[in-house]
Amino acid sequence: MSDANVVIVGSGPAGVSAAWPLLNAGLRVHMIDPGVSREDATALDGRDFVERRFGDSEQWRVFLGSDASILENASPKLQAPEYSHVFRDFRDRYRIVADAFAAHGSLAPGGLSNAWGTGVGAFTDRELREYPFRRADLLPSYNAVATRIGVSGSADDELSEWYGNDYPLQTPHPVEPNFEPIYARHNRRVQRFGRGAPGSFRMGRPQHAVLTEDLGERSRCDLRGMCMFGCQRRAIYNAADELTALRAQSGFTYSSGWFVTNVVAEDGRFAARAVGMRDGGERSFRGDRVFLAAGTLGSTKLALEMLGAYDVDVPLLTTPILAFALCSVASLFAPPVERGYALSQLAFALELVEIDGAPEIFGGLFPTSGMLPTELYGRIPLLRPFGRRIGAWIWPRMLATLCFFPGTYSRNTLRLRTGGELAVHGGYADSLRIAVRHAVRRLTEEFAKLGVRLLPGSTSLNRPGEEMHYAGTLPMRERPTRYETDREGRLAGIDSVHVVDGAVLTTLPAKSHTFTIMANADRIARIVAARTVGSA
Amino acid sequence: MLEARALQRYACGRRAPRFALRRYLRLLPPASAPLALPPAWWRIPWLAALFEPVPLLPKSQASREFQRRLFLVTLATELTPWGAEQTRAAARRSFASFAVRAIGCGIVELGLVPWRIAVHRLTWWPLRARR
Repeated sequence: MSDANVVIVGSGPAGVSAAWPLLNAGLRVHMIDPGVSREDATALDGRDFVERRFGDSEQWRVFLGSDASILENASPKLQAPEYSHVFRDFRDRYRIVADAFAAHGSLAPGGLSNAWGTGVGAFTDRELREYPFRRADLLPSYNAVATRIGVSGSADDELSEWYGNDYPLQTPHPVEPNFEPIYARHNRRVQRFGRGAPGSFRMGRPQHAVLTEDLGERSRCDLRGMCMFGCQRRAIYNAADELTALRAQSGFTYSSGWFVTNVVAEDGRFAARAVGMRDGGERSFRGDRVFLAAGTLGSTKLALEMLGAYDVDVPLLTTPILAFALCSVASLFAPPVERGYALSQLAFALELVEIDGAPEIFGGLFPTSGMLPTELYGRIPLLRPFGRRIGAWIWPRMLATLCFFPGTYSRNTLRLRTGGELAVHGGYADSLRIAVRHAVRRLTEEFAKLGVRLLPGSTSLNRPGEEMHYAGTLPMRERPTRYETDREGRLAGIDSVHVVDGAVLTTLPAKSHTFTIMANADRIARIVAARTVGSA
Repeated sequence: MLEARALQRYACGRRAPRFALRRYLRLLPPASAPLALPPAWWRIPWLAALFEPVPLLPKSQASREFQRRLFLVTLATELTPWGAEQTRAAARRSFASFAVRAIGCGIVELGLVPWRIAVHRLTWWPLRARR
């Protein structure tokens, strides 16, 4: 039996972010996770992407692994063998039944941060307008999280204020040669016409949870191009890396290998009941309070079970993604780029003022230097030998673009069935089609000004859930009703259970939300820590 | 490259017509290439699976299975230093060379439209379930 002040269910970004303020206040924290880890040895050996491609006759071990079924996943990170254990057993354990929805989650230490796309961005007051707090309330937490995880990005460009530049930032990565002319042209336009007003097309360097300077045990990125397949230097943030530091804290206990099945009241306290992942044994982890940080799908299932909310639909927000390819005229005549930083090089934001509510979209431009050209071959409507020859030429000169739409366009629902299955139904609002049409038109115009053309026929919309931006099932409100939470993530009527992950986000803007999930977990933990210490 | 040819044959179906085989053989390296397929490829589950007997499938599934196998063949050869070098060589061609080839491919493709339909039908035909 544990005698923790707070039991944290989950060791992902939210759980880890909640643990630090509690420990700093001198509280005892017990963190539980299922601890699914890889069974085979890593195939990474420090070689960079190019060395691997041209010198390793067994490169399939790193790029594909032994299970070809992972090719069905759309995201490159979901296809990487290095991350395959991250998603293992999740759907089976939570008994998820998905319909038109890609339901992913993680039972691994560090949760989904193991395969995080690393996009960082603080929500603006406009993006927080339906939240029961303001940005100023989150700022100390944004600062704490950015200091802890290391965020690289520009503090002074057209997007930096929109991203947030009032927390510590490391210098951004160098821009890849393919992107330099585009960025230079954009900067010339800024010098000539001034910075874009909020709402207009704005472009800048993205913020990433990737180090450009050493931080603690983690080394800075050395541009090996293996971002999609596994970073050996730990330059990319992973919450699992923080577990070592947490375990060194005196008030911290970590129990790995336990899957929490439900949370119940026991003798005036709360207990997370869990089963052993290996032997199936049962155990209760008791604490004065329980923090649910098992990921949006996991935490929502536990919360709905606590509330006895069976056969009730709750909304599940996701951010639809429009993918398309760009090609600049300059890159057609330039030598192909083979080596570099494989995450997004430039970011853009744009308001679709033609549509009611002027929704804001956000996107990133990715190089293809760290991905396999086979991603393209199948999309070229030519016979395979021709498609391969033409694809091989275009591929290194192409810029892959992901454009995120706000969660208001998602129409997913989540339902806990009486039998214990978690049914997820995916869908998009009809209005998304109109928004996509406007976005393509506006972006085509804006990119044309920068000398970049959208490749005809290259646009595709992702399947709901593929981007793994899940949120908003138990939204925080000033006056929460049933299946909602208050500003401390507490479920209506249950004082000592706090949901601290993506489930409690009130709205989901197009901007990456993981940084805000972490900051919100930190914020809630600070409030709980202050109250607990104050009352002692 | 006995194994490469065998791989092709299985990828296309045991009784695939010769012209279809020739078409896909163009994806594969010459016999002199030392690293045409990953070493001990028969121990790689997804690659070895291509050598399993061709199942008899309903029409729609047979077509999909054919495309899947074809993609895996492409991937198998791409994921070798030989494949990477081929891709690099194609990528380094000048814009003029690329443009000429692209136009040439386009003309050939247009001419092949009726043939493509025929080839497609004939190549998934061996995988299709017979009544």
